[in-house]
Amino acid sequence: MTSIWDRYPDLSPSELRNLVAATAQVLAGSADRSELPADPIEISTGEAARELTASIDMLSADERGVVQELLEDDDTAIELCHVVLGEVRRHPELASAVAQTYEERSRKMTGAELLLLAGALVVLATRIKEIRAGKGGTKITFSESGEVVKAFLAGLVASLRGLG
Amino acid sequence: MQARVASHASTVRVGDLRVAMLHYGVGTEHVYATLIDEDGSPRSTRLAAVEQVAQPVERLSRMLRAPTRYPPAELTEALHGFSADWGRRLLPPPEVLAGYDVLVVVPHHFLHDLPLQVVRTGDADECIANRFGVSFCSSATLLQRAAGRNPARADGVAQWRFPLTAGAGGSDGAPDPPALCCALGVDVLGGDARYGELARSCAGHFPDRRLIMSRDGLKSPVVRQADVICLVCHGVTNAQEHDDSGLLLVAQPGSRSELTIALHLGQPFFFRDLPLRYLPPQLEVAPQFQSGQQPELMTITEVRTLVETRAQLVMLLGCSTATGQLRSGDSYASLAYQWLQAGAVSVLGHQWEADFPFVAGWVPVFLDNWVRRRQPKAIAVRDALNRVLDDGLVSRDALHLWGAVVLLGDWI
Repeated sequence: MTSIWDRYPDLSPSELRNLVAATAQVLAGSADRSELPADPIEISTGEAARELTASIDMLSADERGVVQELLEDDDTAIELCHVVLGEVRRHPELASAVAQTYEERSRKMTGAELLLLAGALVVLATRIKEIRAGKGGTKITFSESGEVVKAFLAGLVASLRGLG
Repeated sequence: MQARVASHASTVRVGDLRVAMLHYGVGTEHVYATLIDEDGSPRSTRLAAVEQVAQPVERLSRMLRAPTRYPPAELTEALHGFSADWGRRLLPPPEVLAGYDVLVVVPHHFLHDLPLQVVRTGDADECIANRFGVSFCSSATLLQRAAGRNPARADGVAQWRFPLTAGAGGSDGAPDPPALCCALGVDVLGGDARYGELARSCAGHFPDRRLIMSRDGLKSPVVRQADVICLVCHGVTNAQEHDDSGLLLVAQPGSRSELTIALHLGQPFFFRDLPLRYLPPQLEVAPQFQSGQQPELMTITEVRTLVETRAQLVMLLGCSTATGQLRSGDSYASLAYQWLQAGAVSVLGHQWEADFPFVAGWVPVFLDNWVRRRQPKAIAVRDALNRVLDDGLVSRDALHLWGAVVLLGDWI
């Protein structure tokens, strides 16, 4: 059976939104809840920006607006999502759990995901240290991946400093 | 609890079923339920304190409105917590419900959002939906109207005898089964042909069947006269403008049909039958719908404004078709209730996501129970659920897959 990862990154916008949502579901469900804000997938971009500026040393609190803009801009939000998805893909058990959730979502008679949940995905990726994924509950250290995402986001913010 | 009639009879008279209305009231301090039996004798019970349940109710409602925003395990855990723990505090004690076969539930306030059908009745894993025939109605007035237009409630309904178990003989004295079914099945997002096949298969249970091709076709005279309407499609929920929630259907190929509306002194005016809302622009439709038949949204507002029906049953087989929003006067706005208000006797919907493989597995069993074996609808729903759960279509524990099914309106 083919997996959504077989076609990655050549996905339609709708497929990408669904993959991001499925990844957020898996990350939120596999991590220690005490590490996460309440209902992390429901988080707004404003809240996500506040979380990110508070938890990433390379960002300051007054850059919250910039982070929010990055999460709301189509191009940068997609870039951020690809960075997280790229990290997820590096862990086969995690990637497999995401693919399974993606497939399960496609069995539902619901409309497709209409929002790109970039804020939720980035917050989850940067907050989670460890994940238990797959049937055996394999322990995956995700903190290094989180650092990659933090550095990428900080780089995006830095590139905008002084442009205002 | 044991079903009073199910335990000793292979065929049952409708008149022997013990039916109760469970009428809820949410007070400032407690939730109350009044159980009213066939004799009209009320029996009130004070249930959970509002402050004990308000928070879990709010959380579960939020999760069921947007299940994909939560990890699947969290949703499962929340449903199980409701089913086995705090949801039971919202039911009268088991001894009060014992002996009834059918419950007609009239919720109030925040209870409209709750899937009371998945609450466990006792210590085993039997839920309300497995034990009772259940139907819901947002108000007793709407229920009375729905029941009042049910042709199956003609004279002699009490003598109507139907089999409870497979192979227990046929029905006797039952009203004529519904004859005309209009069905439409389309998956405009994935292009999955199985949606259309399920609609055709549902229609195949009826002697006279018409396949409807489009959204505007649902307002045609033949659909207005249909005994059963079956729609298999995606449901779309709009959290900001709930009345713009609806069903993802398709436009009529070729020319548009016209609506005739009497606007002034009975003078008919003709309007092109355009959808009231465009599709959300982010939706990507399957390649076959990018040219030719265009996808269209049929919203709650459109059903409210332009749809009339006399169907004995409208089957809304899509996601969240019974998910609603509380309005003033304790009315509950959902697509399913809107069809009930448009004239349907009963509506089958989903309180959250519908899982296609489950729907495709249980709906034919339900239709067989209702149309061929002539079980009343609520009993047909219960027995079909039990049958597919016994057969292992999904696990009994998988409340998130099977628990979303609800029958609204008249139970017969």
